[in-house]
Amino acid sequence: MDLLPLFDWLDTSWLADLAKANGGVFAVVQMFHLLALVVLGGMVLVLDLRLVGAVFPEVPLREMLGYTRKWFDGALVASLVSGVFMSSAVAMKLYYNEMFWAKMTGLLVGALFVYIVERPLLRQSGDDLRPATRRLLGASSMVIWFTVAASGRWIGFS
Amino acid sequence: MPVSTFEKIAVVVCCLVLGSGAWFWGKQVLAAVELLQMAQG
Repeated sequence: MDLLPLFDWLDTSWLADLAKANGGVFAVVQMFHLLALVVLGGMVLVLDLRLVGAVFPEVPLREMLGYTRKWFDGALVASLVSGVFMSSAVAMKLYYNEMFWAKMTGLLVGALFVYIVERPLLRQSGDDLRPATRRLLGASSMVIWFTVAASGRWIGFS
Repeated sequence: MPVSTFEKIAVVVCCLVLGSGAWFWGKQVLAAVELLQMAQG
């Protein structure tokens, strides 16, 4: 599936005009994007470190999921919305950037992992999950989100 | 206690994720080492 027409459209959209013409608006949106990433990363780390047994061993897993779930969802939506706006300013440049696609792939894999594997499994088994599976789940999630974060930063240097 | 089918599938998915992560970052490290060697002549 070629997404070039979509990026081409985004590059000439009113969103791109706004992002390119107004540095103040871009800076404010970028601030919200960074804030969303901090919250997203924080929620991922808290739950994953609990899964590998590094923090809060006394807090039940289902309870931990309950604490982090809504913040994660909100941060994911906020980062996606602000990310589309920021991308519009450099849409064509991003389309040809390998690290941008690495980040997008990681983001898709991460979201699918959270909503299809991690959460349903924690809801089903909670603390009855075998320790090895629990640790594997946490480690895998951290690898995915580390890849998203690192490739995201890499965009600026490639 | 028996392990559920879902848990078994999750373990396979996790192994695939960790394998893909190792492949992706391994590739990046090898590329960086190659660049370093080229820079040193």
